[in-house]
Amino acid sequence: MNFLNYAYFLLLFIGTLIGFRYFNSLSTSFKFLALLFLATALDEYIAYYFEVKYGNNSPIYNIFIIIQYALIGGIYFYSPLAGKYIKYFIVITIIAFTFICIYRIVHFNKLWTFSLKLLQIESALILVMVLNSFWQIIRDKAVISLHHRGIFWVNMAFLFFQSIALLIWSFYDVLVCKSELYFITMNIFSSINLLFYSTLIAAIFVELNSIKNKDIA
Amino acid sequence: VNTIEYTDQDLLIFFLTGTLMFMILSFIVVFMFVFENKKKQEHIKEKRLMNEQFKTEIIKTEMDVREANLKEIARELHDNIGQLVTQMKLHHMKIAKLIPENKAELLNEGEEIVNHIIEEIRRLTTNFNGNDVLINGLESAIAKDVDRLRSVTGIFINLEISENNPLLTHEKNIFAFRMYQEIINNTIKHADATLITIELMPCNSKLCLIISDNGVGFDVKKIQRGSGLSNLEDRCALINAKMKIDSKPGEGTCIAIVI
Repeated sequence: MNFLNYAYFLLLFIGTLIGFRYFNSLSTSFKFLALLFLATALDEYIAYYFEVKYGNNSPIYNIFIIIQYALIGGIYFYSPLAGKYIKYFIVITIIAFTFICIYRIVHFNKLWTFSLKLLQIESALILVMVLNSFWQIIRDKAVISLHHRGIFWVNMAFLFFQSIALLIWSFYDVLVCKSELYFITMNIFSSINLLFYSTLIAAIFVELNSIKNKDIA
Repeated sequence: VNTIEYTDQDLLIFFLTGTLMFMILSFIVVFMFVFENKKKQEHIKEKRLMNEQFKTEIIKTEMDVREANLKEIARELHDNIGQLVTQMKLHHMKIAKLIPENKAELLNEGEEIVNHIIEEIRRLTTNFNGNDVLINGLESAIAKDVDRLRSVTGIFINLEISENNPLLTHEKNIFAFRMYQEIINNTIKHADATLITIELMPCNSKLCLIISDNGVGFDVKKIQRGSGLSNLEDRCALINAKMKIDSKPGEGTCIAIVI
């Protein structure tokens, strides 16, 4: 484990702690974000244990990717700005994605291998939700500054992280061939990962602040 | 060798895709902030417009209430005090018949005073209810008032009314007359003028009311915004009229209103 890994685990722990400290004050959408922090933290700790014990943590990620997508879907499903069609989209894609993941494991008996294709599909689907959410913010009649909207920071975090993830997973085979480039890319990706979770933590605080201001008003 | 070439090509595509992706992401972020800024500006504009409308509505209501009060006072003067004074005059006439002619001099003086009171009540009634402006027009109402002022104040008043003045709506006529009254009252009260010039003329399809005097004048920048000046400004704002005050201490005052 290097410094970036320790920082990553620590951020997940802090995120979970903050999410559950203010869980009751958060909107439903952000309750899903708190749950995402908890699920990711548990997943990463268990995955680390599996890697040490069995030398392969693919089964954990095969299960987690379903939970992760469902929780991210929950964030956008319960977003106050979410329209009818995006809600249909979220429900349908969660069902379809879960089915694909389970079918792959059961039918092809691939519990101990992990597919980058699944990550690519997940990233693409999340980007659709993010872009739709941005569009809903633009169409929203309420005049609230972007940086005062928790969902805006969630969107920004997912937009950058998932775009970069999609790019890296799409070219993973190419990058692996160039060990130096692979090393640099993965380190940059880990740093972006830290930035991603830090932004999500900041989004929780922004959301709490906006709820507090709403109550005062 | 083929494999290396293939990988290099893929790497190039990777970098190009990455660059394109960053450009798209940057565009999305910039677009969001630009749009937000536009929305904020529109909101500020809308809010300002609403405030202005609200303010205008309040001033209009204030003016309507004031006009209604003046009408009420005019009605009371005419129906109540006017009747009482008329009764008093009749009573006087009855007494005049009862006393000898050589002793009627004092009574005649009293009758003159009563006649004067009746005349004043009539003038006030006409001024307050604004019917004269509505029936005979702004020019006629101002001309009548100027005649009265000439006899009452002893100030030389020069009235110049051009022909083909643009016709104003009833509301604007009343407002213009009230503004004229406000300015003339202030001039008589404070200006210490011996000459007042009132001009009504057309200017660019609008009506210009110019009132100037040779009085003490005042410093426009230092003048306190009292109720008189505020009333003028409010009335101007309500009918979209423009007012310009030109005055210097010792050099008289000129007030121009374009309606």
